[in-house]
Amino acid sequence: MSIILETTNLKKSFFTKQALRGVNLNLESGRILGLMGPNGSGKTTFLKIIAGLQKPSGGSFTVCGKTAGYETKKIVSFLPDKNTLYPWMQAIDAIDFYADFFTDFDREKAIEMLAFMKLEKQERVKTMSKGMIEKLNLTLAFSRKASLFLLDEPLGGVDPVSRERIVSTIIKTWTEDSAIIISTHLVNDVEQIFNDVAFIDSGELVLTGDAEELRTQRGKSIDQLYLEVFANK
Amino acid sequence: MLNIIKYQLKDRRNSMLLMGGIFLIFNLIAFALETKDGLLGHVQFGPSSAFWVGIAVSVTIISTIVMFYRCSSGHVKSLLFKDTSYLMLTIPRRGWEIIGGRLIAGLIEFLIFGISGALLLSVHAAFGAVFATSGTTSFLQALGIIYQQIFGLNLFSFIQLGLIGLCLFVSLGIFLTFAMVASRSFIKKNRGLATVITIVVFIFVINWAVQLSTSLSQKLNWFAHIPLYFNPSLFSNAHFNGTNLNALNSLAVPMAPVVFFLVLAAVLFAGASWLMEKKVEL
Repeated sequence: MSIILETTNLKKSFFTKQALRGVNLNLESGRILGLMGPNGSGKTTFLKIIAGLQKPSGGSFTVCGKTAGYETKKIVSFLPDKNTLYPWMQAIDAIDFYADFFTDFDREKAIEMLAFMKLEKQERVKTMSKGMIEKLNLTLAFSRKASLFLLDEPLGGVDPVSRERIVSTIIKTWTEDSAIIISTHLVNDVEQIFNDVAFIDSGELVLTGDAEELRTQRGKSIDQLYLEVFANK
Repeated sequence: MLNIIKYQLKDRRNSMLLMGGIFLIFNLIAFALETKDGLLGHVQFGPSSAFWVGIAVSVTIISTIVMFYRCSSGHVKSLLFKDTSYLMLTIPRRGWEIIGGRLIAGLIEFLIFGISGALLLSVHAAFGAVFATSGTTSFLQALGIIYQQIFGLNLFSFIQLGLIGLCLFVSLGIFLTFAMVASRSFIKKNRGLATVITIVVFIFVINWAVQLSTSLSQKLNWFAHIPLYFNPSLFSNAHFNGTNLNALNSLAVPMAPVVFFLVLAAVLFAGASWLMEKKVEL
């Protein structure tokens, strides 16, 4: 196993508000990390920094030993919590866009995954429902042979059937040489696929560890642990 | 960079079609009325056609000027403030590729508008020439003469002015881009404030650059004298025979601002590219 992501004292502040207060996190290849916390806890900020959309105010991070910037964008696949595709695009245009810009993009896999997601190639983004857009974005993000996948609230606002499909896709995409970080509130729906968990609150990691070990040690599911950690916050 | 250009043009396609459609509708109405006046043997525009020609010409000219500014910056505002910005800022491309690609796409878009607008205006001018010569010059002859005036008599001047226009397009576009990227780099959330700062920075940079470079041109007496030829026989009921040529005017263009703008644009382009990679956050 190799280290995919290493963050050292990662900080982010917006004027007076500190969104991240020195996050130290190591993620090895072949692991799926559940990043959990309430609204405004710093999950999205953390993922955006790793994806290159925001710059840290302090500390540093590396992805596969490469420092933040152009090189890490080549190996990080980010699924944001909002639609970022152009409304004029058809699903097939979005696939072509990724194929044009990412050398690690597998077009055939994307076409297959589109069918698995029950999406039409000619469907336009502007006519798609939230769930369909989520599935299309997931198809695009997971059709890359990236080293690190960042999924920001991939299950938010989608129906249970779509959720099931998304979780299946995550499991199918998992490989030994890459790592996945999933930020979510819907702990119950995905906790079975987490190898590691990190609970974040007010920009600080308050609990991290191997998911199975935590379940055994505490005698609770991750969902119950989440409630225990954040119930009184 | 080719892919940036390709997707920027695709993104702009619907807006271009809409704008083109508006151009076409106004101008087609005006053409129809001009043709009717011509067929009825009128020697001047009728009131209805004069009104519609005025509207069509105004829409064409004003839209082209607006598009000059919007296209020159490569529509960078949409790159900085929309959710689709995520796409552009997570792809492994350098800042200069993104900004440069959008600038070239903007130039292509503007050329489409500009050339279409010029063609439409030349048709109105030809109708005007037909009426001005009391119908002794046919529409096609007038159109031919207009193009001969531009591409035959003034080809070299036309190329010179085109190059100066290109320099201005690129420079103004980069100034605008830099102002927007810089304000977005330091103002993370307040889009309104960022826009105000963009305008202030833009006006400041342009004003300063124009003042400095114009005084430089005057000191060095560095002007390009571009001759403009005109064949007056078109408007004197005589057909163009290529002999009655007058240099109507010589346009003195100060060259220092052009060169200064280009140098400044190169510096600001590098600055905007750096900011795009290192400072812009979404």
